[in-house]
Amino acid sequence: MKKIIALVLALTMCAFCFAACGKKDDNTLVCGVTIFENMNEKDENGNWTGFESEFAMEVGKIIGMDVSFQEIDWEQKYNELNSGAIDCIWNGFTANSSDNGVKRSDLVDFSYGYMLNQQCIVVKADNLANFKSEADLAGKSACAEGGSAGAAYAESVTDKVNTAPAQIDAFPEVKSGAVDFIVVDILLAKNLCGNGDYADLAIVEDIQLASEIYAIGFKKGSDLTAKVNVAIKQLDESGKLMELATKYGFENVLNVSETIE
Amino acid sequence: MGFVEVTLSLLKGLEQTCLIFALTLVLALPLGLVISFGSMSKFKPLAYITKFFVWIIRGVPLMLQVIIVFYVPGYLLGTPLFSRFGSVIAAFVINYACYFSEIYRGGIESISKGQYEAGQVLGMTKTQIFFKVVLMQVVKRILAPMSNEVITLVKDTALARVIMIVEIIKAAQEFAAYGLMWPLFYTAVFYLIFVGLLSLLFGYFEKKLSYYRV
Repeated sequence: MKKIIALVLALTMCAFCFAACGKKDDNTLVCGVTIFENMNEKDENGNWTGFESEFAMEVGKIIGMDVSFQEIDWEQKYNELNSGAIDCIWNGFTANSSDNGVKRSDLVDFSYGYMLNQQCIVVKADNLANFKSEADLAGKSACAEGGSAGAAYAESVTDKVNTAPAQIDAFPEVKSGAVDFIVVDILLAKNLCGNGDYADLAIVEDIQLASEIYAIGFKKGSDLTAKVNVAIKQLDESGKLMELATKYGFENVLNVSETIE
Repeated sequence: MGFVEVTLSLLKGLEQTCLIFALTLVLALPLGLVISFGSMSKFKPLAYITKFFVWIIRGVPLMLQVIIVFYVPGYLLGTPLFSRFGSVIAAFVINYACYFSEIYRGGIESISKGQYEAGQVLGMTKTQIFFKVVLMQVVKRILAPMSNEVITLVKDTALARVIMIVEIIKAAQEFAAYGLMWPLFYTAVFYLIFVGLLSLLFGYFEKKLSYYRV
């Protein structure tokens, strides 16, 4: 009996070690991300690559912090941020959008904008003829990442909207025929549609949505915002940012601006 | 993506699944016994408080408990109290201990008074009677309901993915996100083997413990 009790106590201690050692230290910038082609993705060795991953690591060098990436459920992004589980939302985060009617700039502090984006409609390629204007979307079933700018748009045009935990999870929905169309970032859609397993998907060019700007979201009142802004400016002026954008094919949409409206 | 590559990735996820399963079981089994003592306590306030606690824990979805344990301390303190894995273990252990406590209670209360009296006649202390006479018989009786809970636990580990623990289902979903659906269905094989082994193990235990049948 004593042995069993000792064993249990030892294991309890192990569990607490697990709990404790996972706590983040103050000198690590934890970026909340979802998997996003050419932006935040892992190579076969499990290292983070993509424009935003490298961008974040460059910023980390300048502000003198280690950078780590934590995959999040996009719908939980504000909980992750406000509970301190992550330090920033750095994942193609559309700054000039709203969630449930509340402007995102009221929910988080944004850094400078750094990239222009647009939402787009993706459908099955052989279904393309049925999508000519916004009116064709009414009554169709849709899927978009929960809590995303795309979801906000989808809800405004049709009442049949399902949400996915990440943008990338919306693609199997339209491929499998579970929904008629999905609303995702055009940067992601251009990389995925027509390639590999998604060869049968296409972007609807006839329906153009409003343009957006990406920025990094910080907890309200965080002192990180100003630090990161200085670093962004420095990377932009040195040409390093353009170098990274070109590496991943984003040179035409890179656009550093101090205002996000 | 080849079969081998997918299997390796899923095995990595399975490692997390097994870790959650094993740690939860090892910690919740003794904790459940402690809680069952609480709910059977002769000191009524303690019994009521314990029963209230068990009601809360059994009445709230485990998924919600995992979310609460991870996010709420962060909201209150500004930084999470436990890591993601730590939160999952904490939530699972408390939840399963409550379920186990009721199984223990049923088992302990089913032991006839005569067993305690026999122990007393032999001059055993209360502790000796409980651990050497009663608990041994309880284990025999609760084996079947316990196997139910343990098997449920195997599949409940999938809930850990709500706070982004990459267990086997989450590992498979990463493939599904790129249009590869079969790894997700393939995970069923891992679960079936896992549960199959457990069923065999419990069958073996039952056979071993089936002495003194009356």
